[in-house]
Amino acid sequence: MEMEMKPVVELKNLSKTIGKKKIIDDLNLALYPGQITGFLGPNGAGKTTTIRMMVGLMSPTSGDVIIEGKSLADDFEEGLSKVGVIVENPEMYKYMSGYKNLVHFGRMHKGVTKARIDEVVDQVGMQKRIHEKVSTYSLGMRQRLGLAQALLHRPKFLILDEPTNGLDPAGIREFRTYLRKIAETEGVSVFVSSHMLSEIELMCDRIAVIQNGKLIDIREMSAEQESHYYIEALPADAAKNLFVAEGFTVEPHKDGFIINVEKTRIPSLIQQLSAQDLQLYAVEPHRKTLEDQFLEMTGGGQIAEAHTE
Amino acid sequence: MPKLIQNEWMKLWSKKGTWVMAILLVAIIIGFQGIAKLSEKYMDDSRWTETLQGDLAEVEKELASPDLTEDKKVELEERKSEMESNISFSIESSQPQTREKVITETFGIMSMVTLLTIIVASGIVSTEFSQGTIKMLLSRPVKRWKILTSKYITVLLFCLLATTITYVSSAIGAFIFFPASVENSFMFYGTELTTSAFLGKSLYMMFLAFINAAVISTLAFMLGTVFRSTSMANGVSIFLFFTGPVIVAFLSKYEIAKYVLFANANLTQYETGQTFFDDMTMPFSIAVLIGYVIIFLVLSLVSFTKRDVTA
Repeated sequence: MEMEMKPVVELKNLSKTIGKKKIIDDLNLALYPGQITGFLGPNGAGKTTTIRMMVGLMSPTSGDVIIEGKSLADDFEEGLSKVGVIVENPEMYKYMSGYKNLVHFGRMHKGVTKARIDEVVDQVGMQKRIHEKVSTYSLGMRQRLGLAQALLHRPKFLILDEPTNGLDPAGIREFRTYLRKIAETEGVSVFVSSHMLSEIELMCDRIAVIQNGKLIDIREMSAEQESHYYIEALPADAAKNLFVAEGFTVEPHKDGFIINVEKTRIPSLIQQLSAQDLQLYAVEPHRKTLEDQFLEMTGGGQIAEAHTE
Repeated sequence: MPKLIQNEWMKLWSKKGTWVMAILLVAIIIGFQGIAKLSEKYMDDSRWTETLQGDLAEVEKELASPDLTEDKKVELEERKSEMESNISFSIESSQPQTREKVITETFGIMSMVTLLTIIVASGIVSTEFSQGTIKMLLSRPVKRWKILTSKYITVLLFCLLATTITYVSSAIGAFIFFPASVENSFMFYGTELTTSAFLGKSLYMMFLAFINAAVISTLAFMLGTVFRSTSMANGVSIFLFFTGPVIVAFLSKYEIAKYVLFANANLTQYETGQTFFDDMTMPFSIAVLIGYVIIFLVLSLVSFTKRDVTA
């Protein structure tokens, strides 16, 4: 269904070479309205470089970023006018108040009125301290201010690099709800990179995985996955032989095994195990976490991206 | 563009340092004049003039003697002309200071303005990089050249404001400390200037000194943009600003020295007669300065618009 919509953002054959090293290699990706896409990848996979090319901080060696039909290379101002950005930590002018920061960034977009600034300040719940200097804000408040500046001009497309850094659990939850809301009600397309897989899992409709500068997988989070069950039975060897004989792929897990089996096959499988006098301790559906999937896709690479800059 | 300049102006004056600089500027100028007024009471230059005149007489006597070698004669001639200029200077400085003279000489303190504008110019781009705000600034629907241009205009506006502050505080100080001229002319760098001409002359001198400050600040602006380091741009431009004339003097044997930025930046040299080279003219210097400014701005623009932001 979503595939029939016109994408808000398209990355077309995007490549970036620095020196002799190919940082991004022929990346193609389309992002659709109302959808939250997670962007995952191990350390140094090229997430930050990709995001920087999408917002005009870096220029691609070849390929193009197209936002609402406008190529950034040809029509930078028109293209970026639809984009709201938080690149890594939102670094604000610390010596000015939050309000002045918003006025500053508001002036760089068309049609940001005073009323709109006040509205956004309300939305992120910063009314009380907006006139204080940013240097007095906590990390969480800076994140909120960062979100506020990204929303000022009602973007069609939001790019968030590690948006929940420094937010407390309540703040993260609130943030997630808020993102969902603007994606659903205003049809905003959201692109989130995060190293917190559980976060991405709760927040996103689909994920794009990048490794060594190449997009290795895009998958819908809502899509039905293959059915897996965790079965623990003793003796383990006998159980394993049975599963293999039945043609299941067997994966050791804790004291038992994970096998790919349809729900409808479970009762007969239990009967087979009992018939062989195996002692059955547990049969439970096993849902693979995003982390499992991620490690599977990237071959066990590191997830957390170093933020030493 | 006006909105971008408004932004830069807001950021500039949101920093405490800018206010400190402005207040310091006023305090130093007025303080300077207060000190000048005090020292006037205690120093009597007329005795210095007498001593110099005595020395001159001796040199003239020596010159008159018939058995002089050619070398000795040349040396004495040189000493004589040096002493003569010293005497005219001492006569000039022994005249009581007047408002008109003090105001006309305000341009002499413009190196303060140059210094402050260097500090602003070298930081205006590079602090965006060091504080990471450049990412927020450039991921906007505004082309980079527009942002850079607004920053450069802001530097020039600051320079203009600082120049105005200097002139106004000097005028205020002059009114507080010095009496109006009773005579209808005063000495200005060895030439006589009618009192009624002081306003035009003083503004013209300030304008020339403003150009000096603006050109040196363009250098600082370029260094800050290309190297993206505030301290480096600050250090190098302040160092060059102070040692520039020395470097020019050092190179003065060579023709190329005439084309060095610092031989030309100070256009007031053509008004005070203290030029580095006798055959240099104001139009020549202006042409050289325009050349430098174009080079600096092109370098800044290319570096700012073409390079990736990785900070």
